[in-house]
Amino acid sequence: MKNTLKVERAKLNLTQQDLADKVKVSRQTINSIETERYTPSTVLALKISKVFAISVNELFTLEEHEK
Amino acid sequence: MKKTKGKAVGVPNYFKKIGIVLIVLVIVVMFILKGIHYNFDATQKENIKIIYMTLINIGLAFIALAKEKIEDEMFVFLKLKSFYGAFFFGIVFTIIYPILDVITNDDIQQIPAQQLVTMMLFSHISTYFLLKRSENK
Repeated sequence: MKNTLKVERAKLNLTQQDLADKVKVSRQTINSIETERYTPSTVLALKISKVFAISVNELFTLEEHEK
Repeated sequence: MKKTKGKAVGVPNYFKKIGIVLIVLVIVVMFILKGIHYNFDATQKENIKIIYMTLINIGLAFIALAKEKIEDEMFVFLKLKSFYGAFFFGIVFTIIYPILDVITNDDIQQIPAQQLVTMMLFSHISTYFLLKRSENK
C-alpha cells in the first residue's frame, strides 16, 4: 500500500515525532508507515488522515497488484 | 469507535531491566559457586541447576513480557510475529531433539520443560529484537 504521508507531513511542516505525538504512537511506527514497511490499522489510518484533514483514500492507495 | 481489540498483555517497561539484572546476578552467582569449589552432592547439584534455570526463565519472561515505553499497534504486531516464531521454533525443536538422539546413537530422551521454555523465550526475545531493529532502519 502506497501513501503520501511524507508529502503531507512536509506541507504542514511536521516532523515524524510531531505526527507520532499527535496520533499517540511511536516515531518508529510513523517511520515504518512512511517507508511502507508497516500497514496501519483502520483506526490509526483514520487518526493520521484527520491530522492532515484529508480522506484516508487520499492518503493511502492500493498498489496495482493489491487491486 | 467501539474497541474490538483487547489491551496488550504485559508488564511495565522497567521489568526489562529487572529481568536483565536477575539473569546477570544468576550468572555471577553461578561463577562464584563454581569458584569456591564446594563439594555439593548430586541431589544438591540437581536442585541448584533447577533453581538457576527457574530464575533465568523468570528473567527472560520479564524481558519478553515487558512493554515498550510507547507500546503501539506496530510493536504489538512485531511481538505477535516473534511469539509465533518462538512457538514454531518450539515445535520444530521438540520434533528434531529425539531424531538427533537417534542419529547420534544416544538413548532417546525427553526435552526438559525448563530447557524448552528457555529456548522459546530466548527465540522470542532475539526475533523481536531483530524485527524491531529492522523497523528502525
